[in-house]
Amino acid sequence: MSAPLLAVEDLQVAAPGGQAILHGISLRLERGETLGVVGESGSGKTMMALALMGLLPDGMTAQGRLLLDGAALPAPGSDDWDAIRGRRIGMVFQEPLTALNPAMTVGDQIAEGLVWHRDMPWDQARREAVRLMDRVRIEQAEERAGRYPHQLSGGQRQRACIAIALALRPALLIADEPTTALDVTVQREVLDLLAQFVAEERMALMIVSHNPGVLAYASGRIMVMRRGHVAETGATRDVLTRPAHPYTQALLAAMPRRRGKAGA
Amino acid sequence: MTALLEIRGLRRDYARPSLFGKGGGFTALKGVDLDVHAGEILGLVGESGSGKSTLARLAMALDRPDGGSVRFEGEELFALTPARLRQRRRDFQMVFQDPFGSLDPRHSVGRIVAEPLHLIAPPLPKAQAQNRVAEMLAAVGLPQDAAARFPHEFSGGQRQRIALARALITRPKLVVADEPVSALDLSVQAQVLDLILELRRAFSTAFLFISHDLAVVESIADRVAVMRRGEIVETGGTAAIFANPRHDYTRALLAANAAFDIPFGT
Repeated sequence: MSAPLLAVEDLQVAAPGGQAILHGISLRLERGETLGVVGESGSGKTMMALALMGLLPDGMTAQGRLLLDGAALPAPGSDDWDAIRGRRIGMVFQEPLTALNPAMTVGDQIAEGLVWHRDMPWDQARREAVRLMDRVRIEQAEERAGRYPHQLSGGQRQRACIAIALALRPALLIADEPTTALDVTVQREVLDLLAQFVAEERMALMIVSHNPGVLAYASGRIMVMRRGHVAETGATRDVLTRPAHPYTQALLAAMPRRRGKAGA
Repeated sequence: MTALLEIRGLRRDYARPSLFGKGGGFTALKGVDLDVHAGEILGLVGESGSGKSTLARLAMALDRPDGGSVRFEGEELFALTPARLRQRRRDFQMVFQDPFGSLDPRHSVGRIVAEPLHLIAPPLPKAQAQNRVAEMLAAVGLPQDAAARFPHEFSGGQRQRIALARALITRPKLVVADEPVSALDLSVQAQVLDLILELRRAFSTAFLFISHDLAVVESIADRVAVMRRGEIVETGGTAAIFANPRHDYTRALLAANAAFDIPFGT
């Protein structure tokens, strides 16, 4: 059996004071697969995502093994992350407006990664950026490439962030609450877009979300996190329809639609 | 029967100044009609930019409209003298989304909750005011020693309890709650929704409950109004709207939401 694209073995993260944030997380993620990570604030889901991107806040320490394609990921803070982050592991965050540079056109921000990492000349990178914007279905890509982030809608900005992440064809994309700031009608479109790239590029996708409903729609497997532990993990459909862990049961019972049905 | 709050033909235009010369205009509200009846929870749903927060601010007379009227118990709010408006404010209060930004971090919780009492004339004697604070803290499920503590010592859900205690201390007839549970974790959200239902029962307060989340509105509202681009496109009983939406936009919203339904098993 070949190695999974991503293997996390007993990941432990501690705060500067030594307080444990993650208590030994293990997971595997294959190419072409989408893993949903669900949890409430303080569950450690974002800290895990940051550890996988080599972006743990200063002073935090990590232990355990992180393997990408069978090779160990660099230690936190190591310069070796430059060859991994952005190139092999792409990232999409919740707030596209804060993730984008307000003073640079959207097209140039997509092109910049190609110039920096691929030594592509700017004019070629700009053409490639327009093609990528087209691929993430930003309409009138040519014209919008020359616009600044504040001139685009929230959905278009998030598509632009996805284009930036996909420009370097990462093997793994980590998306932390990628649709939380978006209107519900736009959320589905963005999730569909991510699913399309998972299928077309054989990319692996990890979606971190507080919303089990989003992950029911977007992920094949799900991991439920609570207070730095994995409460349970399994096929999304199984976990969400027949939750084994009391915490998952409580989380699902708190969903407003379920409350509505249970109450009255 | 006249409604508690009667909004008619409400308009709000924003000039959109541009750094580079000519600015376009933008109409946030295009003639909105809406009633909130005594004691009901009216859910107002819509996506970003639909105008729901603009409507909330105008319903609370925190801003002036460019046309139309807002009547509270038959009284036109924008025709009132400042003194009379101030007097009336004890009857309509507001709760905001951000439980961090809406509570002054320098003030004790007791002082924050007591703050709207200044709207009551003649002022309550100090002992009576303190009793009211204690009563409200109990009503929202916070311990009595919370009064002496400060906002940063509380979680997001507890802060929304503080905001609700503050909003209800003058026994208002209407509370406008703008995305009051959107920033909260699911389990905390459920507790705050239950609390709002409980407070409505205890004080017979009407709520204009604004949210982008249809599932949340479905679980709490008696009636629902759907807003899009500055207009109310549909209003009706909650069960009717969710079972039988008439407007295309309502249908599109419900379909988008249904995508995130969990196929609850047996």
